[in-house]
Amino acid sequence: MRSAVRQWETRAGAVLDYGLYVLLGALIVLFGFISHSFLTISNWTQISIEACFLLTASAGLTLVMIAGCIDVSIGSIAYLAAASVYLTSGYSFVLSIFAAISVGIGAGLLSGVLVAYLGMNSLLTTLGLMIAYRGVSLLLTGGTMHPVGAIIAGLGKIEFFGVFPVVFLVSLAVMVVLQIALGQTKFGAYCYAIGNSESAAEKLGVPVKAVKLSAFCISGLCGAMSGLLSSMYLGEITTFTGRGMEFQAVAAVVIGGTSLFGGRGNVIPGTFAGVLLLTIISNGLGTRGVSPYVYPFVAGVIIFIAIYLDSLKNSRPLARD
Amino acid sequence: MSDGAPKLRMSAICKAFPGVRALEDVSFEARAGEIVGLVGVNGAGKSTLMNILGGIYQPDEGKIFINEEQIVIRSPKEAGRYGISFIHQEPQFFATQSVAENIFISHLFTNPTVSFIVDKKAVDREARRHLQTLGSDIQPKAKVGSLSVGERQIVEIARALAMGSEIVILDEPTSSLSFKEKETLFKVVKRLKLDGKAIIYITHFLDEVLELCDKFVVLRNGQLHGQGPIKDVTKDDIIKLIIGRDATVESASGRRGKGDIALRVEKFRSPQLSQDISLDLYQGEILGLWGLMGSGRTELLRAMLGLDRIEGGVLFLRMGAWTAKIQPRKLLKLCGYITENRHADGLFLSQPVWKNITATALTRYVSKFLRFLNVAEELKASTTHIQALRIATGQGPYSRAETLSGGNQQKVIFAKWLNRQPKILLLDEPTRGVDVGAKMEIRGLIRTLARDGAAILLITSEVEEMVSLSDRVLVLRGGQIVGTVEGADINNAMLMRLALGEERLNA
Repeated sequence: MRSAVRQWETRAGAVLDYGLYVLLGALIVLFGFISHSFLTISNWTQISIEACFLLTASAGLTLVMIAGCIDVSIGSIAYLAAASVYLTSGYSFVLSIFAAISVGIGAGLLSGVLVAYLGMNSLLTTLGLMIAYRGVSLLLTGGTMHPVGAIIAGLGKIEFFGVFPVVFLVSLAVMVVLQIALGQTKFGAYCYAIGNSESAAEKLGVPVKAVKLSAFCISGLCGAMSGLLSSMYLGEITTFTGRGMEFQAVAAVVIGGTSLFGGRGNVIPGTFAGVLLLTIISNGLGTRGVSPYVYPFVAGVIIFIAIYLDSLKNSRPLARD
Repeated sequence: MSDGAPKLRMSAICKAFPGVRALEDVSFEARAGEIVGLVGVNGAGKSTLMNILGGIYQPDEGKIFINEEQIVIRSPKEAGRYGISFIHQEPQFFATQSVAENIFISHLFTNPTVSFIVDKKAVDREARRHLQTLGSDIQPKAKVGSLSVGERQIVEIARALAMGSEIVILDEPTSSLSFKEKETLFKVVKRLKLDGKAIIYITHFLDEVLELCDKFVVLRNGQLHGQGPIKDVTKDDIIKLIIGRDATVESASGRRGKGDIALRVEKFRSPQLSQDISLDLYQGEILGLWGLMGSGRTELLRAMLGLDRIEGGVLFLRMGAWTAKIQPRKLLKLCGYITENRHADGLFLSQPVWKNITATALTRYVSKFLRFLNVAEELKASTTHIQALRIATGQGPYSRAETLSGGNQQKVIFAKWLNRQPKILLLDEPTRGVDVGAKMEIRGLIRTLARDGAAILLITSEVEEMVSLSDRVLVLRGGQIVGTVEGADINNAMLMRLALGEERLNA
């Protein structure tokens, strides 16, 4: 009887662990059948561009969530970074990039200090900052569309061999670096430890506050990189830059198997696959000519399923053995 | 191995908390390669003494020496630096991480060439080495979340080794282990001893002390009541030291004739109880459930109320003239239940006293139409209870529960259940953390309730309270009933002997 339960749990565990990849494969096959243009190289270049902004932002968020916190200010940080690119567009493009990166690290430092050192709740803190940063950005940009510098815009349009957009390669590099940080460094091990049990980590000498602060800095930096990439690719900034991205990112990270409760997850393959799933659904429905208003509904259903699976996974290790 | 200077020496330690002398002039020592069994009943001062060694408390007087060098331990971190590891009952672990990472989390090795990369191979190898030292075959790569409680404890002991600890404190390590896991743990502790560590083993299971330890230290009421090599003593000797020759506390309450059965518990079985448990609770009776922590007393109560899963068993409840079979959850709705922890699940702390008192019987105060609450009625009822129980509140029924003293909070909890007028009251540590005056009042209240016909099931850690209140006592040990004590047999020596020893009585 007990072994039967065990077996069922193992099987259910396999569904929880690999369901996402099965779904991803099934969707690619499905869209390949029903849409002529879906499986073309130019469409996949398009998918990589559509995905890269969310990929960058979600990668940093994954770290914060593994450490048991959340950062919903990344969308607004992206907009603020894009605004700084616009404001510096009269000067060297190097300054623009530097400005965007500084904005990201600075914003991350602020939320990190508030959460790690002042002990504020990460959701509410970053929710407040999300609103504030968007307000500041709207002030700086006057709430309208602006072009960015020509060199920046030119850089953003580069495609290696005509198929690999530079913006995608940058986001991929960010993901690889962060996955190495998570899986191979002390910092990564500390993130998992804090997400598992902050009190135990503290007692065993893990520098909890410093690790959390660093995670928020990385998350802020990734948000800013996302805004920078978006302004580079589009050649302009709009009030839509980064809007709602924080929630898409949270969804992608959770779909990718990172726990909302911390302690479990990864950037590659998890978050990468999560972003890809959302992007493919949006792109596939688009190439099939489905109304764009269908996408939010489908995405919503998938997010619900992912969060339900997350809660299932969390009840697993707690089961009495 | 145990020659030469002691590894650890605690000398003339005193510690007082407001109103209690927790430790008085306690001295003992532990040598390398020696297991010291620290025994005593709950509240004897074992935890206080070890918390001083672990850096959680500061002693008022006394000195601590490691290798005959005097040290001051200001925090748990400093204790770690002096090579002291405290392994608590509940293991500290990171479920999703590997055994190796759990062992080495505070000092992960990095790759010699690329300094920011963790050398996982080296970490695994070292973890395996420490686990092998302990004679354990747990895989370093296994996730700790997939291990059993016993294995997690071994991981924690391996962590103590990895941190270079010389003194390892184990606090009631077997309380949540199965028999087989216990055996494994003992082997591990013996390996630790062979490795030359000084081990302090806290327990109230004397069999474990006799099997495992080289030396025993007995604490009673914060004082040292004997120590020496295990080979010179028998279990009975240690029991005598633990119980002491205090004046026998005799039952004070006049024994009453039994009423009808109010509640019959038949063949309750749960994972926490080692045997089916049956008991009868009579009207107008105070039935004590006596046992040490971990004996199954709270577990039995929780199982009866449907708060923990049960594997079998039936409850019969008298309702008026006849008896009905009921579900455990139903009992929770019908009886009064005073929990061990009044802050967590006994009171709505931020709410006024009157809302706390009427919370369990709200249906009595609702109107027929739209079921509005009649606040005036609620206030009236609360005021009656506040006066009857003499609850001291600043603003009468309007004081928030958190502003009251512990004793008065406990009275509010009583009022809350009395307001429901239950026929059955289940009391788990009803006077814990309450000052002496309030204690006496609450005990009086419990007696009055029984005299008025309520059936009362009482759990308490204070032997004196158990003796003075109970009409009948069931003694639990290791998840089973080992004795039923009645009348003049209810005295502290008998209760302690049954809870600690091997004998059985009328069970």
